[in-house]
Order: sequence, then structure tokens, then C-alpha cells
Amino acid sequence: MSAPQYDVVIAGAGVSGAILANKLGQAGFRVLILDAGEEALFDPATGADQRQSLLDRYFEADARVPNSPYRNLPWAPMPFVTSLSAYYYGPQYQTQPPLPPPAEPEDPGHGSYTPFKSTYTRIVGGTTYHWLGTMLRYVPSTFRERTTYGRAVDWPITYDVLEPWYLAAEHEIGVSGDGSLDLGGAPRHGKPYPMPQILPSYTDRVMKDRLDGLEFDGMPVLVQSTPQGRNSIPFQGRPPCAGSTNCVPICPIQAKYDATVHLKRALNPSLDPKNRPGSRPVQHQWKAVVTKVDVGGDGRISGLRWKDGENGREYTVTAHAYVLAMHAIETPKVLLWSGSDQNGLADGVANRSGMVGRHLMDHHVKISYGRADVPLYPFRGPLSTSGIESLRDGQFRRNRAAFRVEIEAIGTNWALNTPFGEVASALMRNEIGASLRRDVAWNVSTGVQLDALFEPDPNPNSRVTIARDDQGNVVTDAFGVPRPRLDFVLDDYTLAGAKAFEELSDAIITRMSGGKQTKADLVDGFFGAGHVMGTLRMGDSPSQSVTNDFGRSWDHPNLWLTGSGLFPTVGSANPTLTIVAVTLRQAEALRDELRQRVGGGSV
Amino acid sequence: MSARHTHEWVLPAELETELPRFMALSRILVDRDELEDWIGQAYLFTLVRGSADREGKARPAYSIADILITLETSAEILDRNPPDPTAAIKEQMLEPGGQVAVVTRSIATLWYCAALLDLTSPQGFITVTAPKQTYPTALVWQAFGGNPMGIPGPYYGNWSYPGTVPIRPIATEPNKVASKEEA
Ligand SMILES: Cc1cc2nc3c(=O)[nH]c(=O)nc-3n(C[C@H](O)[C@H](O)[C@H](O)COP(=O)(O)OP(=O)(O)OC[C@H]3O[C@@H](n4cnc5c(N)ncnc54)[C@H](O)[C@@H]3O)c2cc1C
Ligand code: SF4
Repeated sequence: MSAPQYDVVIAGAGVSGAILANKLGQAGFRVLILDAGEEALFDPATGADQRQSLLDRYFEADARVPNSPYRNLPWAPMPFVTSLSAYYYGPQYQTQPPLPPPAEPEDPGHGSYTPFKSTYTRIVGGTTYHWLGTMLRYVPSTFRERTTYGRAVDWPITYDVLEPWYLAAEHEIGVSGDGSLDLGGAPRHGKPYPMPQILPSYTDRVMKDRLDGLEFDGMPVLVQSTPQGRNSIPFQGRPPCAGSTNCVPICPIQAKYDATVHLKRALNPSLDPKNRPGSRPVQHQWKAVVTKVDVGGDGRISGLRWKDGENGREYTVTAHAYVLAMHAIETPKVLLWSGSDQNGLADGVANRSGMVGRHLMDHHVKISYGRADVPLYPFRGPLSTSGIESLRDGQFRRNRAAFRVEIEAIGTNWALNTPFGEVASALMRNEIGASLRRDVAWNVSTGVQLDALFEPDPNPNSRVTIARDDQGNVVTDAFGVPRPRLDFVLDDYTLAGAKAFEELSDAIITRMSGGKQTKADLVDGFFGAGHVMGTLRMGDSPSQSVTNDFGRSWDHPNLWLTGSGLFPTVGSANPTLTIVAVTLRQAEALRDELRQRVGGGSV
Repeated sequence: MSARHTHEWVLPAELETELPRFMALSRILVDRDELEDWIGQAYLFTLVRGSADREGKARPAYSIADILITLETSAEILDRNPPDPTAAIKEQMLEPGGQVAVVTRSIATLWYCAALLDLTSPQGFITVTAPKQTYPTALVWQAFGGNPMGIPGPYYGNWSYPGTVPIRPIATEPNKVASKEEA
């Protein structure tokens, strides 16, 4: 067998892939990173950011949704919230004619099937291009749910193990926050954030004042500054936030972190503030749609296959170690598709446990809204600057989902399409001229919106599989690659949490409206949070989990999986700080493993 | 922002001379004297042509005949009701309904939102966006002192203080945020 072309090949240039590439390139290894995206929107020589084409596409878009600045590539289509069924497949999505219907899923258990609504981005740099930037730690009990609350499972690691990595992650990303706050019980032992907190929005300040002394379920309701991957001061060559109110779907000035920060450092190590002697530039291949991994007779991964997005040609690349960092839907899809009778893995690669693709999770989002009795001057800064974190943990988690509340600084934008909805409804009432302006100004400026993110109950029947019709034929995208089938359960545990949130919303809106409105309005149903999690569960046992606590496959020792797919449980906090912490820990383990194996690496 | 884009927004022959009447009606609808012609041309263009969608297909918005009738009606009302024809526009163009009302409201949505909205639902989802150069000029942001989403704001932290545009309570309560008890 000829020597592998690379020390490590990484599939996916989102935040987890980019950080691994950066760290392993810094350690002197020969790294190749592949991504389905079309091009890198920066100049690797200087690090200059070149995102204007994304802004232009956004300003022209009719539907302003998270993915609207990004081109839907013919070779790597992605889901859009306005047309999920064009990509996701399953009984919950209207089948596009002329496709035959899918087979019915298994019994859902405690809950009922619902469409999975969250999306992700297939672009070089990945989904953090349009993330909001909330950077919360999980609370310690989230790593010990079985032990603490007798439900779900425990992680193979504890908060204490991850704590130093959390701190490192905050410095890698550049988090602004107030280190003195207790955000629902995730201790930081006096360690400050790298930047001071982002100033709270005026809405937050009014709300903090109005909610003074409010309690819920015996817990204080505290309006607190959200730690966020958004600069409050110049940081590592990026400017402070200028209040462009556009964090989702694209920050025009990169005051908000996105994965190109690490990608630039990977491709050009001299851009890394911590560049070390002996670091190597990471090689890259864009427009590379990863389709499969090959398994050799010794059980190790022997190659990674990808198709060129432009000409459809298939290539195989070899390395000592393989990392799949394509996020929690595409990675299990590739693993499942790689299995065959020929390689004796008909159920998929890395899937002896049968857990690949199972326990798909999101934070279901419930939106409530109402009207304040004073103007709140929205739409002038980041979309959200504060939240209510003090309700994230307690004995109630035995019976109902915990939630955190994101306080919107853009009024009722999600609930009522503010400010366009206010214009439409005023015109429908035949307001014009000065009264149209006054009407819109007051209604926009007094809107209050609360978004609750609920902790899901991991369910094995919530899963990603290869899309097949009821005859068993694979359903592919236009490029001939299988589409994902998604079955997703809205669990009773979340519904119980939503009831609690409704009560809390009533109390908050009563105070914000000065008693004029005693019931909050609710938007029907649930939204997705954009958090795709749980399909590659890590654990202590090869029969119950896909990887060990470092994301290393139990079945194939040179295969490493990354990202929120690894998470056994996810609490109610946004996942990416935990993704970065787990990835940094993994980078060190992979570096040590590669050193042993190839002896290479300089550091 | 300059007039240099106007050559891209070619109006059909029947509307070539209509910009002055379009601007005159617009000034009343949005209560502003100082509207710029290049923006007006982009909006009149959007009204008649729709915009190109992602695949580059043009989507029509309103017929030339409906637009002409609306502009003619408004010109007569403006002539007959100096100095402030706002109430007459409301009574004679909006309240009777029909295509004239629909086109009139759409002209207002263009100036306010740089887009055409679906005016059959109070959420007013965008159906057609105007040329991207108009995006930051949408008047809705100025109405309440907000920042056009995606355009950098004035300075770090401005969002933490009250805005500089005065916001006053309105007499009528809005019709759509009814509390559950009222609903
Ligand atoms: C609207 C929205 C808001 C969010 N806000 C927050 C927030 O405030 N806080 C938070 O913590 N998280 C947030 N998230 C979640 C966050 O964006 C993700 O957790 C994070 O981006 C995941 O990183 P990743 O590297 O694992 O995956 P991604 O960032 O999705 O990167 C995966 C990469 O793999 C590539 N890829 C995919 N398939 C293939 C293939 N077959 N071949 C080759 N390449 C492929 C993609 O092009 C992409 O570059 C948000 C998400 C959304 C959608
Ligand atoms: S408010 Fe604007 S500048 Fe600040 S992070 Fe969001 S998009 Fe970027």
C-alpha cells in the first residue's frame, strides 16, 4: 500500500473543521480540508474579507431568511426554511412530484412527528456565517442528566473536564461578556471573557427594570447580558460591532465571529496571532462534495471519496486520519451511505451501535410577544443582547424541559414581520401621510418579543437516514447524492416546558405593558433554532454510542467525527461554544495520536 | 447614492413621462417633500416590471393600465385639493377599494420598504424587492429611527440609549396585537 497523501483530511470547512485544520496545521501536519462550497470569500494572502457579493444577494432577496445571501449550489443543495421539502425528505415533508412517497416511520414514543425545521449552510465557512453568535456554556447537570434527574443519558465527560476548554473556546472565538454574572449555574471561577460585555439594548434595559424582583417557579427571573461571539472592542483584526442589526443572515463587517477567522489562519498560518515555527499551510479543495469513506480490511478508513462539483468526476484521497466535520445531518448521511454488503457494513460505517443518525435534536423555539407602554427603540444593534438564563436548571427538569429566553432587540420581527408587517397593517387600515408614519413608528417601537429555546428529550426515533421511497429506491439530489430523510419527534417533555414558558410570558408582558396586557400573544407551533444536534452520539460504550469522548469512532480508529452531532444531550443553550470546546479538546487528542502514528508535526 | 443607475430601470413607453405624477402622489402618501427622482424611477420600474428573481426571470407586478389610471386619478385629486390632498386621496382612492387602492398602497410600500408586500395579510411579507440600490433608503427605518438591517449603524453602543426620533403614542390601538382575552 502506498503512503497516504496527507496526515489528516478534514471534510467540511465550518467552525469545527476550520479550527481542527488550523490547530493541526499549526502542529506541523500535512492537512487537506475539503468543502462543498464554491469559493472562500477572503484573500488568503492578506486575510482581507470579501463578502460583498453575499450582501448584494441578501439585499435583493424577496424572502429574507437565514440562507438568502447564500447561493444554493447545483452540486450541494441546502435546506431553506421557506422550502424545506426541496431538500429534506420524509412523511413530514410534501414530496416533490414525481417522487413516490416515503415509507412510514417507527412509533414516535413520547410525542408526535413534526417537520425538522432548522437549516444549515453549505458554503466555505459553513453555518456560522449566519449564526447569531450566542456563546453560552451548558450548565454542569446537562452533562449528568441521567444521574441528576433520572432521564436521558450522561455524557462521557463532565463540566469539570470541559471547563478549561470552554475558557479556551471563548478566547479562540472572541467572546464579549460579563464574567461576574452567574448565567444559570455554569461556574467560571472568576475567569473574565476576552472582551467586555456588548452593551445591552435599550429594550433590555427597560425589561431589566420592569422585571425587577420577578420570580418564576421559585427561581429569580434575571435579565442578563448574553455572552456573544461579537466584538465589543477591536479584537484580532476585526472591528467592534457597529449595530448593523443583521447578524442573521450576515454581519457586513465581520464584527461577529464566523469560521473564516480560523480558515484564514489554516490556509495562511502567518495570519494566526499564535503562529508557531514549523506550522504548515493547510491545503484546500473547494467544490468537493464528500460522498463516502472506504474501509480497509483492517477496519481502518482507507480513503475518502469526493465528487468535483463542476464536472462530477470522482476522486479518492488518502490520509492517516480522517475527520468528518460536515455537521449533524450531512456527516451521518455520508456514514450511512458508505455502508454496503461488499464492505460488510450494510448498516453504515461507524454504526455497529446502530446509533448513527439517531437522537436528532434541535432546540424547539416558541415565540411570545406583546406591546410595551413605552417606546423601546428597536433595530439599532445586534438582534439580541440579553437573555434570561436563570431558569435553565432545577429539579423541574425531571418532568419538563428547561428553557432559556432570548430577548429580541428587533421588536416583533419574527412574530409579525416587523417593521414591514406594521407598514402593511397600517396601509390595510388606509393610513397614509403623517398618520402612517406615526402609526408605524409607535407600533414598531413598542413591540416586545421573547423567544424560548427548549431542552429536547433525546429520542432514538428522531433520526437522519438515507432518503428512500416506499419501493426502497434512493432519492437523490440533482447531483446524484442521496438526500437526507428526517424523522423528528416533538416530545411531551418540550410541550410541558412550553406551558411553563406561556405562564412566564404572561408575567413579563403584564409588566412590560404597564398592566394593559395581561396575556402574552403566542405564535402558533414551534420554530427551529438552527441547532442540528445529536446524530453521532459520544459515550462510554461501543454498543451505545458512535464515538468515544474525543469523537473517535469506536469501530474505525482513524475516523474522527466532530460537532454537535456528538452531543448526547443539549440542555437549552445554543451549542456552538460547546462545539468549539469539544473540538479544541479533540484537536489535542488527534495531534497526539498523529504524532505517535506518523511521528510528524513539529510542535 | 446617485442617479447613475437610472439607465438600468427603463420604463415602458406609456410610462416614460409619468415620473412627475408618480412623484407627486408619492409625496402625499409618505408625507415628504424631498423625495429623490432616481428612487422614484426605481420604484415605478418595480411596480410595472416586478423584479428579477433568483433564476433571473422577470415577474410582473401591475398592469400599465392600472398604473396609468391610478396616476391620472391622483393627479386630478391633487389638482382639486390644494394645499393638502391627503384626506381626499384616502377617501377617493383607498376607501373605495379596487385596483386603484391596491396600486396606491403598493406605491407607499415601495417607498416605505423598498419592496412590494403581500397586502392580503397583516404580516406583509415581501413579494418583490426593488433594485438593491434603494435598500437603505426605505423610509420605514427613518419613521422609527431604526437602522436598515445590514447597513452599519452610527457607532458602537448606540442601541443602548433611546433613539433620537421622537416616538409618540397613537390614538387608536393597533388592530393586530390583540391580547388573548380580547381575541
Ligand atoms: C439561524 C441560525 C442561528 C444560529 N445561532 C447560533 C447561536 O447564536 N449560537 C450558537 O451556539 N449556535 C448558533 N447556530 C448554530 C451554529 O451555526 C452551528 O452550531 C455551527 O455552525 C455548526 O458548525 P459545524 O462546523 O459543525 O457545521 P457547519 O458550520 O454547518 O459547517 C459544515 C461544513 O461542511 C460543509 N459540507 C456539508 N456537506 C458537505 C459535503 N457532502 N461535502 C463537503 N463539504 C460539506 C458545508 O459546506 C460547511 O462548510 C445557529 C444556526 C442557525 C442556522
Ligand atoms: S449588529 Fe451588525 S455589526 Fe454587530 S454583529 Fe450584528 S451584523 Fe455585525
